[in-house]
Amino acid sequence: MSTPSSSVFSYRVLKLKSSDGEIFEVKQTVAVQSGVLKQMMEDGCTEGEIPLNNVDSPTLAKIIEWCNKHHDDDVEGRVLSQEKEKEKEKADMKRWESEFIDALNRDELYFLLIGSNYMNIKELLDCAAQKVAGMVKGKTPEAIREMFNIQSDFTEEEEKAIRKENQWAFN
Amino acid sequence: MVSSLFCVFRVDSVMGFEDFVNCFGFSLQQYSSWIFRVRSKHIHMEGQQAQHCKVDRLTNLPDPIIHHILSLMDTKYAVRTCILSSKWRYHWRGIHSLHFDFPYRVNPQKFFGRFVSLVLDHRRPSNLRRLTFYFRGCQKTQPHMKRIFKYAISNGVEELETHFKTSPPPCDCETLRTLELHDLIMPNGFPSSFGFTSLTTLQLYRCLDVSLNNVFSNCLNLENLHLIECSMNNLSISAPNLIKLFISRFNYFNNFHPKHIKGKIAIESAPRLEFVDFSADQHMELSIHECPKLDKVNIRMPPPVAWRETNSYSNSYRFDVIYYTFSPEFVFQDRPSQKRILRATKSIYGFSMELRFGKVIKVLLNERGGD
Repeated sequence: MSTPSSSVFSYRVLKLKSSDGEIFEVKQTVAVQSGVLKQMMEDGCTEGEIPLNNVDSPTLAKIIEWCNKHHDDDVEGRVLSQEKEKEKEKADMKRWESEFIDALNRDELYFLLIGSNYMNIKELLDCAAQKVAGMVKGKTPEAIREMFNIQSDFTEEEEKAIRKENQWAFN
Repeated sequence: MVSSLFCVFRVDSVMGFEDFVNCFGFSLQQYSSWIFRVRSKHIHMEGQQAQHCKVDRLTNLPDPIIHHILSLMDTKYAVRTCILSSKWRYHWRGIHSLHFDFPYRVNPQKFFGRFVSLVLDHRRPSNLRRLTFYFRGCQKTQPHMKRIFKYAISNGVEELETHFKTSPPPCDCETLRTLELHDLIMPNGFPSSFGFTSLTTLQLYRCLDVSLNNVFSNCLNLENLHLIECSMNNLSISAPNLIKLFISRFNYFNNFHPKHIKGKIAIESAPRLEFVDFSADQHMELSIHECPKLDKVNIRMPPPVAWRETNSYSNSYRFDVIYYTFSPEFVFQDRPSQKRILRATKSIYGFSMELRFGKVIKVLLNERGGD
């Protein structure tokens, strides 16, 4: 199903400028996934280079890779006569997403979270946040601290007191 | 480049350092500042690399992203992050979604109630985006459930996912957009007070004997309806704003019903309906009326039992008459290998179809068609 925006914006190209000055060209139909860029397109202020001051070029490249993969794929809205085909398509996308996210190191993940939040790309933000949530949940505080290099600044007594205050979460 | 410079400089021990520097037009100061720059660059890079490994990226994320991450996990794990460091102590209180999921083994009264109190008393009051609530063990959770739903409603919950056995879901909430219910058994249907003015998506999973009549009359803005593995005898749908309808594995628990009862599904009136995806494990009667916007239909359904006993698959097969108005495209799929597409020109009249495994035998003008 084509969104109204994709028909309006057709195949025009946006020039995105990363924080380190690199220019990326993105089709409007792809860029529309970013809430910020979509708003700019609707307001008609996408002439020239669009500076993205919070996103460096490696991160922007990753974000564009994601958007290119996800653009215009409303799977549910199409008639796929075979159930298997439909499920396969969904599963393929899920696999691609998890491979994409798993391949990132901590720093890349961090900048991707910042970048997708800044550009307001909900699905990418959710996917990256979900990855971090998956890393955190079910782990002991010690394991989480070690994994993310979090320095505890609590004394032993303080930690005990906080644990007691929230004891029902630690059972 | 740096290493080659050092190679050249090694010559200085032979020819005398100052001579060397002079013959290249370097001054001593320039040389030393060069070395210093090179070294300091090295030190800087090493420092950066060391920092790169040790830096606490998670804590440095902006608060809204941290709250979002904590909102995506079981609330229990979110609360546990309070112990990480002083910056983390109150982060969990900013979560925008609550997920309560308790396994069978927890002691319900003691643990559950206190944990719920802990969370509800301390979460910062702000709009609740999503509540997921599963309590698989005990029946004695009624007061807590009531408290949770009351809290959710007063905090403007937008999405709710839960399971119920016999107790009714919260019946009015003006902010709710998405409702997902599992394992519901409600022989008398939804209570008449069931009404969500802003509800656009309703998903029912493995629900038995639920009458949906009140849903359609009270949730006037319903756009997406998903019935997954549900069992209902007859379903009649009249929904003014419905756009997408998914019914899959209908009558999954078919042993729940006497065999002679045949399911009937009638889409009576859905003026905005565009897409229907229907699959059933047993044969049923499906009729579609008054859906002028409908353009994509996907049906998977086995032939009737009686027919299967007396016919081989190569024989003709009369599909239950489908009253189908305004249908540009109709996909009938009996078995994966037997896919056929019937195209009919858009007509103001309805028609009924006889199919030979998807191959059209006759298209008849439907007596009940529009006039």
